[in-house]
Amino acid sequence: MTVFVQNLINGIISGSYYAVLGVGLTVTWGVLKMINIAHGDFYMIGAFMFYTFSILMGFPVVPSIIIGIAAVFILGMVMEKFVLAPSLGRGKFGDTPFILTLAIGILLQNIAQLTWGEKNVGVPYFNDAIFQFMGLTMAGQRLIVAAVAMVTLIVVMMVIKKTRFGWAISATAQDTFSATLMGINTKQIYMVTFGIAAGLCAIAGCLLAPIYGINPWMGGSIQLKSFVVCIVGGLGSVEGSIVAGLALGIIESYVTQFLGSGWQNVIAYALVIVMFWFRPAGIFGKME
Amino acid sequence: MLKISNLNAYYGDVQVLYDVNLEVNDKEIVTILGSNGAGKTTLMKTICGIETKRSGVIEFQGENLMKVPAHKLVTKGITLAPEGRHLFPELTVKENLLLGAYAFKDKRKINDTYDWVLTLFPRLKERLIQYAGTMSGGEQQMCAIGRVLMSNPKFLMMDEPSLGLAPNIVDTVFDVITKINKEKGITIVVVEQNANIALQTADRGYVLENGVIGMSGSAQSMLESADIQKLYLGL
Amino acid sequence: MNKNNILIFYEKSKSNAVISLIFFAVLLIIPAILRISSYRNESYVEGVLILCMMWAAMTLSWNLLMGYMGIWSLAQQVFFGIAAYTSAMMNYYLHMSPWLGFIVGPLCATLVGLLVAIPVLRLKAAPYIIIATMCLAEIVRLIFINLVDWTRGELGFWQMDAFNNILGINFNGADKIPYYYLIFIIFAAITLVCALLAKSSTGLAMKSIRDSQEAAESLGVDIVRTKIKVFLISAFMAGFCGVFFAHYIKILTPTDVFGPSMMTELIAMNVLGGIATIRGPIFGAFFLTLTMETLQGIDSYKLLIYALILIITTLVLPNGMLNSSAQFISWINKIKNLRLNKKVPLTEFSESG
Ligand SMILES: Nc1ncnc2c1ncn2[C@@H]1O[C@H](COP(=O)(O)OP(=O)(O)O)[C@@H](O)[C@H]1O
Ligand SMILES: [Mg+2]
Repeated sequence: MTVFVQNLINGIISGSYYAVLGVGLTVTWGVLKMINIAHGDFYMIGAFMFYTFSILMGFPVVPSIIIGIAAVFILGMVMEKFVLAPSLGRGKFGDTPFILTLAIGILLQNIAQLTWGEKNVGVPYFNDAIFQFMGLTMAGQRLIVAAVAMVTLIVVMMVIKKTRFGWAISATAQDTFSATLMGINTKQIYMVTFGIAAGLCAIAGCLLAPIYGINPWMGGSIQLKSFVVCIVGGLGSVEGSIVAGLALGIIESYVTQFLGSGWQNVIAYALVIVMFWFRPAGIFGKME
Repeated sequence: MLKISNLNAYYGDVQVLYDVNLEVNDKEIVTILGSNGAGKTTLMKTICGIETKRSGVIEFQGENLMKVPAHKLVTKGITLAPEGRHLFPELTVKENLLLGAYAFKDKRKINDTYDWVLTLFPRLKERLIQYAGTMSGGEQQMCAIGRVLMSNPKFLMMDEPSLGLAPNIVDTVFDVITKINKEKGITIVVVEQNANIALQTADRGYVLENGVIGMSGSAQSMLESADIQKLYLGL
Repeated sequence: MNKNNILIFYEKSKSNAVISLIFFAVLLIIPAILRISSYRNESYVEGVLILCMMWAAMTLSWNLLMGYMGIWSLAQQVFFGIAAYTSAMMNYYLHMSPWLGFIVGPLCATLVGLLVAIPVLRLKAAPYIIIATMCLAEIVRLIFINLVDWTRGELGFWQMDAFNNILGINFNGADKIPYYYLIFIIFAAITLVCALLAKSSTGLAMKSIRDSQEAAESLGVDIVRTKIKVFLISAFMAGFCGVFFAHYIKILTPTDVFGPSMMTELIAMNVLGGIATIRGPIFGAFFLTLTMETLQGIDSYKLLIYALILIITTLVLPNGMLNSSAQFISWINKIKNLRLNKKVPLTEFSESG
């Protein structure tokens, strides 16, 4: 029983990050109508930024994280403005922006490799405490990380549902032409949305860095996981991504328990294929 | 109020409008008639600066609009209710209406306008929390007109507001057009294929054929014109 | 009006066939020229050209799916890898001749092609296809890593046998010529099949599927059959390249042959040259392989330059380097207009939306 609960908790913790990453990707799809294959690389850059500010420059943890996230947010906006914006809408589903994100991914990996080297680097835990509770073991680090993810998700939901800016995002996603007529600067919305998606990656990157370590190639598997989350949740659906992210985390945690970590990702990806077979639009997506 | 001279418009390399000249005076209702594919929708979009490449001069109250980005028009009092309504299908009716006032910040004024719009279209009151995409065509059209009115426009363009609507709803829509013109002094351009009702409502009319302005004149004279009767009124 | 040279080069005419004949003839005699010219490093040049031809053949095979049919399947490296692994494992465990690999490998690749095609058939929107095929590819990679007892996991296989000598041709020597001509034959055959396929009725069906599945259906195109057929052909071709790779490079690891980086290169090569043409992928593959080879000295900046080339070409020449005649024409016109406009007053142009 405790093993069961322990797995559940571990699953929710990692799942909350899949949710954060999936939400960024799904919002990008909803607004810009393109899929971003450099998503995982923004996650990686976020982690390196945190490493740079906290370890190399000696800033305290919280300011380092905030600066790191801000830097990636700006980087995302710059990439959108100068690389993606000129190509948006080209091709049937946005093939051209898709290819460009591929190039951005290579670019970011190479820059990271040149700047920080290929070796794995680490940052210390924010908190070394271990909590024991009714036979469950919880590292303080993981609790902090989970709390931040939850807060992030709630803030994102609130912003989208309740603020003027969130409305503008929804309006742009649903009908760019109308949104322009309403006085929404849709190009700016594109840019900021992409920046926010990158920023969400950075949040995940910074907070998970102490647990998983940092290297230029760390974005790869995260990339595919984020894809899985937003497909299973239904492309464009924020709620769907949150549910799918948590579900993925929990399933993975049980699979790891029973089959070993080698097979954990196989199951995740196989799920997508099964999903496609029975319900191509995802749990929360609309059927075509 | 609006003066268009030598307006040309292109989709890529394909020219759709040729040297269009058009003038709309203060507080007028002007209708633009023309068959399918004549370029009416293109003219609306081009005035707003959306989608097309354009050359020529568009003047609004003495100001050149050619350099004004599309999303700034609504703050100048220009707005378009596009063909096919283009509501935000997954937002509620209320959210759709409020987005019409997105560019404005004065809460009190927005609330007043909102109440006024709901008295114009009492049907919308019952639908406020429904998703816009799930309403009937007539209700959607009311929502679309309500939405553009939320910005308190001085100059309102409507692209085929009667398209696909039942006759009694078409009457409602044109009643509202007359009403907002008389009560609020909003200048209106209505693009229509339903020439009969459009000419009865409008003060003046233009005919657009193959991207060229063919005929223009007072609505009365156009109603009586033999050509118009033959081509657009089916008499 | 004197026509610009570039435009003449682009003009569609019978010269296309002549150009390709010349291209293949030159490739055919390059080894001879290298030897006559007493250039010392001939096997280096041949090695580079072998890679060029191999990547060109691979890109051509993917171009059938993505370029002609519009199916964004990102699992092409899997077909390559499966064939390579099949041949290598048969060789390692059963001491099968690498030549037989050319039969068994592509057949296995075709089988996997069928397995990939089936889930893809149910999906219409490109993003779904992209993600589904990426997941499939990753599943295969992870399976090959995890089934250590059979596949030797991350270690992979190396030192497979070279091709046995046949007809007195020695594949085991230091000389690269036998491999050069072997890949030349594979490359030429794949090019020919692609060209014939593109002109055939299947080619027409493929293009109509790309432009609109609904329209294709209403025209009586058997969508399922066409898609499966093209998947199988494409996988078969990739399989040939894979078997060649296994016994030429002689190192196989799951991450190299099943990981996403090979797919990235195929995309880049295809997009650079121009999709849905025969010359596009060939040009792209040669261009990128040669560029990367010349950049060997500044190894660490290679990927950076690679990414920049991709970004700039995609933005400036959206149809690829070889398919941009319209782009060039409009640039030339713009330049002409600029000159004219100095005398004639400007008409105001604004673009928006
Ligand atoms: N987005 C577009 N791209 C290219 N051509 C278009 C586009 N929209 C309309 N057209 C063409 O422009 C012409 C005018 O269309 P439109 O303005 O919609 O006519 P109307 O509204 O009078 O029916 C038509 O020939 C149509 O095919
Ligand atoms: Mg129209």
